[in-house]
Parts: sequence; structure tokens; C-alpha cells
Amino acid sequence: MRPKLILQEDPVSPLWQLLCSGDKDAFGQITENCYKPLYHYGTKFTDDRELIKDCLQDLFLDIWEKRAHLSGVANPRPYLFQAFRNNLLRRTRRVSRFSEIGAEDELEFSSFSYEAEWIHRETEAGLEQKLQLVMKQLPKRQREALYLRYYENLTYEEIADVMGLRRQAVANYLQYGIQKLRDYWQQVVISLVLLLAS
Amino acid sequence: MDDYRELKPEDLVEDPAFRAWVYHGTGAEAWNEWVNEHPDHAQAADLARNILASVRGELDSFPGSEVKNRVQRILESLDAGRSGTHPADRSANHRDRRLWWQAAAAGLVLAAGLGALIYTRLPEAPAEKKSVAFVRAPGTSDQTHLEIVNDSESPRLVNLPDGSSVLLKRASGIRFPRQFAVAKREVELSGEAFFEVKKNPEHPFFVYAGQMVTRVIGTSFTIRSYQSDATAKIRVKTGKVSVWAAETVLTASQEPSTGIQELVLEPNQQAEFSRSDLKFALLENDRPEVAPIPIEQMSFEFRRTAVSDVFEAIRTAYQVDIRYDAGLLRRCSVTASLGDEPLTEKLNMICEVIGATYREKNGKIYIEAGGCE
Repeated sequence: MRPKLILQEDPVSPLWQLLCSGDKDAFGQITENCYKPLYHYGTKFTDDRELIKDCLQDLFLDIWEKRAHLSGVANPRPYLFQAFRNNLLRRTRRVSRFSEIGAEDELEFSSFSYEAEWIHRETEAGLEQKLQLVMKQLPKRQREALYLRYYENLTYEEIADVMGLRRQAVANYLQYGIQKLRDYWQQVVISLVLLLAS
Repeated sequence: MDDYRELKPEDLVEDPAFRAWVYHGTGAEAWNEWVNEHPDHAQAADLARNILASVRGELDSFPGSEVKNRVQRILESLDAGRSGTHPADRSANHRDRRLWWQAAAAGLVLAAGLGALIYTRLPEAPAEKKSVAFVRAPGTSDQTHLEIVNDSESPRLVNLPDGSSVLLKRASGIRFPRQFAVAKREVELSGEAFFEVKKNPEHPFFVYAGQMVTRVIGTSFTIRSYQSDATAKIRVKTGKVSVWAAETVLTASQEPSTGIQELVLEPNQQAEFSRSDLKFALLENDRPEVAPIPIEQMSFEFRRTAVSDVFEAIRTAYQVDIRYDAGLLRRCSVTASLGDEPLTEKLNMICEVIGATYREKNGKIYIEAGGCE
């Protein structure tokens, strides 16, 4: 039998109502629990680390100020992802208007994967171009949905809420995304074996 | 029963337990056991791991201590009121940099899977040959990093950009930036190597060997971390080093997270690191366990020693060819304590003593000197 995961309860949910009633400890624990995941999520949109940290600070201070009105939030973790995403996208747009980087560049759900890149470099040019093309064919929203589903363990519904999509769109993104990645990696392995065996 | 049907990579990708293992090292022991018991699923597991690595992409290391700091600042500004909450200290200089080694560490995980796969498919790979855990063809480098693999039986000298020396043992590889970062020196090791680290307290030296992180200031020591061994070992020759486990293979840490066991090792101490439970154990036996190479036991203490003997010692230690005019230098002798200085430092000191200079060409060291009175 494959090892099983003992499901741990989401530590944020039970603390949320305490936060809403003004419990500062609960607020601190929630902030500590969500800071790093949100920070990493933020790095997928912009390279400006200070901007991400500013946004996080604003996000949590907003939450604290609005706490009395947030007791209706049934699922706080995805709510935080959604709120942070909105803040960050708004800020990157605002910042980019004053910088040389265009808004479109900043909004990219970026940095696909380092390892994929160097694998590319090791394969022959023809194959490399083909594979590059495959990677580029993954739309950025698809990459984002994959990240939220598999790295952050959000459900389809939660991803739909965070990204403002319909559930079916999320399901499609995920299904085709995984399929493409699988085909891609299969091809890489085969080509590497051939490369080393020749 | 589901172990008997064909396992697809997608099945593993969908399995939260598998993801927790790949991303956070959760249940590593059980999973390693499962992998060993199901070699027929190795390919699916490798693919699933690579798919998940792509999905995750590159992530900054963000130590628990920094999270605590940030949370503290947020809590403090609650009391201070909203006016002081917008930090104006945004400065390009303070931006976190993406660290090459995080990516490298991620690469290592994936390399482990692919490497094994590739080696098992190669027809003539000797059974006892340990695979080097870099997935790329041996010795390939890129614009920012050099990667050197020793697939010969004798140790291979590698000079790092800061002048530190590394003797790579058989079936081992090292990856390092062509130029070290300003703040710290970081290398990634697969296999076994002896290090002589150039002293430089401002720029600590880190070795990442799988999930074992070693931090040194200036010292000499051996790390043995073959992918195929259940344990990694470290033995200190001189100075002090501290070791700890990275939280996961994917996120190497620059300092131990809170609650993580940190071990400080002194000369002649050695410790064993268990990959499955990420624990260190100090070994009672202070002798090098496996086939030491000469340098690990040489003292480099010279008292009026003929320079030819000194060069002979260097040649034995570093496997380098030293060319000099023996006739011209026959009257030169050296009194020096060269301890754990890296090769370049040793050569500088010897040359200083005998009034010579040296240059390196094609891996050979040429000594140019006028002779001694």
C-alpha cells in the first residue's frame, strides 16, 4: 500500500472567528501561518520582493481593521489568497505605470521552472525548440491553477473563487495542464536516455 | 490491492501524500520504503516528481525566523496605528535575490530520479558504480555555474573561485557559481569530497549535500553524501563546522529553522546523517571510515624541509603536477605550518618563503625561482 497522509486540519479556520472577535493572538497565528505561502504565491506574479512584502503587510492590516465584518467568511485560507491576489495585481498595475516595465510583463504568472530550462539546454536544438514551444503553450492562468491545486492543495471551487473563473474552466486547465506536463517530461526522459546512450 | 494495477504518474500527482513528500519531505521514510519495494513504479514516481517540480517552479527560501520578524512588524503597527504602517524603506538593495542553489537543490531532487533511471538503462554500467546525482551529462556547465564530475578512480582537484580547494573523490560531483555571491559562498555536492575552505569570516561557506547543510568559516573537512547511501557522513579535520538538515530537499536553508537539530563538529569528530529521519548522530569512532585519501591525514607541518619534499607532499595531497628546476632549488628549505590552507594559499606561502612565483597552466603548476643561498 502506498503511504497515506494523515489529514491535518486547516489551522486557520478554527482561529478565524476568534480573529473576527478581536483576538490578537489568533490574528498573529493566522498571519504567521499564511505569510510564507502567500509570499511564494506573490513571487509568481512579480520579481519585486519588497512590493510583495508591502502588499502582505497591507493585506493583514486590512484584515485586522475589517475583522468585525469578516465573520461571514466560511473558508478563510482561499479568501486570503484571493484578497492578496487582488491587492498585488492592483499594486503591480499602479507601480508599473510609473516604471519602465509594462503592466503585461508584471502580470505574468512567471518563472516556469528552472529545471525545465536547463533540461532544454541539454537537449538537441530541434527537440529543444519543440519543447520550448510546448512550455510556452501553457497559458499563465493554467500555470497558476496548477500551482494553487497541487502546491497549495486548494480545491477546484476554491481556485475558481481565487482566480475569478468558473469551476469547469479550472477543471479544464488542470486536466490539460497535467497532461501536457506529463507528455513533456516523458519526452525529456526519453531524449536524455538516448543522448547518454549514444 | 491498488498496488497491482498499473500506476500512472497522474495518480501520484493527485495523491496528497505523494505531494506532501515531494514538496515538504513528509513521510520520507515510508515513501523511500515504498519506492524500494516497487521498482516497477519508479518511472511513474520520477515523472510525477518532475511534473510537480514544474508546477512548483522556483521558490525563494523564506526562513521561519524572517516570517516571525514580519509578523512581529505587522503586530507592532497594529498598536502604532495606521499612519506608520507603510514602510518607506523600499530599496532595490534590500530586495531578496533568487538564490541559484535553491534552483540547484530542486534540480538535485529531480536529478535523483532521472539519474537513477538513466543509469539503470545504460547497458554497461558496472553494478557497484555509484551514480552521480546530476542529471546533465557529466561535466556540463552553464554561463553562471561550473559543474565538475570526477568519474575516475583517483581524487580530482577542483579550485573554487575564492581559492578554496576541493578534492573530489570517485563518482562525485560538485556544482558552484563561476563567481561567488557577495555575501556567501555556496556549493552543492553529490558524493564525497575533502574541502579546504579559505578563511573568510565575512563570507561563510555553505555546502548543500542533499538535505544536509554544512556551514563553515574556514576549515577542512570531508563530506560523504552519495545518493545511493542511506546516510551521509561528515568528518572534520581542522576548525569547526556546523551541520543541520534542510527542511526539505527543495528548500535548502541558510540557517537551521527553529527546532531543527544543529550539530557543531570539532577536529577529528565525525557525524552521520540519516536521510530517512533527518537526524544526526555523532560517531564514536574518530577514524575516517572509508578509504581516506592522503590529504585527509596529512599535517603539512614543515621544519627546515627540503623544498622538493614539500612539493612532493603537495603533489601527493592534490594530485597536481608541479614543475620546477630541482637543481636551482636544491638548497631551498621550508619551515611553515600550512595546515588547512587551500592549495593556492599553500603555494603562495611556499613561494614567499623561497622567493619564487608560480603559475598554473593546463593543470600543471610551474614554479619560477632564482634559487636560495
